[in-house]
Amino acid sequence: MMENKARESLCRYLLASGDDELILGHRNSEWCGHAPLLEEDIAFANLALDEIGHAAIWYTLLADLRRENRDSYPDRLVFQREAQDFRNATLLELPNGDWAFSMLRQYLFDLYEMVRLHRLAESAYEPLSEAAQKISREEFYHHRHTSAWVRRLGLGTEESHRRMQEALDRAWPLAFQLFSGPEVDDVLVYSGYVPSAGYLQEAWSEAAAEFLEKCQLKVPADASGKRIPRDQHTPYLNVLVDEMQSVARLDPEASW
Amino acid sequence: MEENESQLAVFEARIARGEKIEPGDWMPEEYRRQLVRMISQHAHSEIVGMLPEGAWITRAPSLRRKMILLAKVQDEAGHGQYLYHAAETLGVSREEMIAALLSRRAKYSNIFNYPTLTWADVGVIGYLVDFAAILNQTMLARCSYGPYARAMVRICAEENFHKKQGQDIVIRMARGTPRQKAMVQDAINRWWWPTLMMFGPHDSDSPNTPVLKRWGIKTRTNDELRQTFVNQIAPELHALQLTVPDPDLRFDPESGNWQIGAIDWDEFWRVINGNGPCNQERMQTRLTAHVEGAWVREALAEFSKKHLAMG
Amino acid sequence: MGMTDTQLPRFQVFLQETPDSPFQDVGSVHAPDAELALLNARDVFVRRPECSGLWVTPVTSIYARTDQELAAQGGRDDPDEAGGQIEESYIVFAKQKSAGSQVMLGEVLAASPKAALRAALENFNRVKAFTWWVVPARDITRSAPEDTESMFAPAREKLFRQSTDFHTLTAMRSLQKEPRGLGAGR
Repeated sequence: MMENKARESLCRYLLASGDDELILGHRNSEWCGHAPLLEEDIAFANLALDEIGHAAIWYTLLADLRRENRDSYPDRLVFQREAQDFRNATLLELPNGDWAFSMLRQYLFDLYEMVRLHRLAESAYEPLSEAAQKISREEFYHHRHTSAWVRRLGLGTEESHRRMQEALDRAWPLAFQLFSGPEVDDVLVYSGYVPSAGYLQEAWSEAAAEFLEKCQLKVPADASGKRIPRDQHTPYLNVLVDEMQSVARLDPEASW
Repeated sequence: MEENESQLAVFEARIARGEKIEPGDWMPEEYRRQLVRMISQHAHSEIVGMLPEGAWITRAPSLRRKMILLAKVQDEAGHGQYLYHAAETLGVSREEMIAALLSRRAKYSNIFNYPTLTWADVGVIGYLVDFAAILNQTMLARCSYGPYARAMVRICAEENFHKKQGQDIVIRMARGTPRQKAMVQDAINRWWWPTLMMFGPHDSDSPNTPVLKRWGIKTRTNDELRQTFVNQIAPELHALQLTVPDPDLRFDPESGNWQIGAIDWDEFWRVINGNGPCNQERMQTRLTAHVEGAWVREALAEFSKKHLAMG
Repeated sequence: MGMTDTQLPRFQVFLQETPDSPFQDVGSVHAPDAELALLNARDVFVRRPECSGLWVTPVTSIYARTDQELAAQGGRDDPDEAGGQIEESYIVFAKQKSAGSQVMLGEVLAASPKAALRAALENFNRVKAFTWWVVPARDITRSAPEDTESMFAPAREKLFRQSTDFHTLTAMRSLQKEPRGLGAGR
């Protein structure tokens, strides 16, 4: 039997996980029809599709914990919450920018997922470990795709290299927010439900730095430190959420 | 000249026997030319077609619809791929085809020059437009040119999902709230005629059809396909309490066909010649991505050169 | 929309539906290199379940001959001008069905593409095919068995991609109780 404190923490954790995937998936879907290669239109649509699917999985686990209806609760979370109630990392809500920024951001997130899901697969909370195993299959493929691209753009031309370095300079400090927040409570770590943020952050930054260096990309020196709470967002999220909810809000009673 | 005549006879005999023509086989230049035109136009249509629907992914009103639309758009890009590759087997490069598209020399299906104004349009496009495409594509799956026929078989298998998800949306809305019903009726009113025009000019105005039929590229005429479409869809819409924006639509018990009113071909030609509501916008989007993507393609080429032995 | 991949080479894609079925040609993709070609091939050709293996090879590595061409040469191919001495493995594909595509028949050892084709015609002499392809095995990039989980399994779970996931027929049947031939407009 789970204690209330652990349950509440786990709910926050699942909400943050779902929101990360939802917001990034939404951003990825914006590339449809606009990617620099037809092949990447398909690839990014695939990424987005997987991510929205992952969001649905996390939200469904959350529905179970909160004893809400599995079929309707996820949509309520997505389409009826105000922007300020979302708990995604800020990095993921930023506009797509150029291809370098999107690809680099995707790589950092995919690596984070690989490291995190690997440990989550051993969670003492069975629904979580099952979900993690399922999701990590797809994440493995995402990581393979994005790391191949980061390498090619990092080592390609002077211009592609410059753009990638700029993207990294911008995204790296923000990426640390993925690991922070009250969501990753001591009680969850202690109960064996989730891995410790400190461990994940270290594993992630080491692996990233090593890989990026091979792509001749320098990781910014000053990084970690600040624990930015996940309830702080940029105005970009308001615009995103408004658009995302615009049709659903036309007729909240309607079934679509 | 004689050699060509006997080769032509052999070629036409192969087609009459139902054999497939493959890359490397002898074929009349006209056959090759017609196929390149048809296949590339088809490919361009799939790609351009991603834009009007892709625009609604961000606003899809449920998680399930969001995923379905993403899957659909992904399919369309994939179909474009299959088709470009089929055309490439005929000796034209993707670069050439794209250049022709962006410079407005090449065409794509006119239907994609119309805007998607509401969420209901997404449903109607799946239901009507994709159904029309299925009818056309099912015919093309029997085409005499191997790579095109095989691409079409693959596409047909996937297209059925497109039509059904659209129909699902339309059914849901037609039986939903008054606002939803009004939204979907409005979408039908805007898409009905453009969809009928997708089948092309009337048979009497289609000079290409006889030779295309003899060479196994077309097996049914434009009017035949259009009639099949109307016969299927009109009663279904009525069953959903939706109307068709055609005061002359009536069922003829003798032929078993639903007769339609006159098609406004002036509008068709206006739109296809570039004066439709979205032609400019569609091409601009493509052109922009082309230009902005240049540094990416250069980086890929450079990486290959520097880091991989490309034999 | 970005579809301009001007200089990217083309790779032929072969797909294996189940572990027991042969690899067959399904089309091609453009990519700057083999690794991306494999990933692209997966995105383009494996959106629905039936796949347990994927191969890609540059189209330039395929040596192809049609039935017609071989017949014109008296059933054999041209002799090599300068034969290589080192034999290596070539994969043989043949199109046996008119509406089908190139299907893998097996492997032969040979010192050149032409020699490989000759060996193929000899080894598979009972096979009547429309077209023959031989490809050096070393030019083929293959998905690894351990890739099955991450590359192919996910397609099996996305049921909403299957048209059977939509119960439109049932919905329509319950609505269409009136006989056809209702007359215009309404």
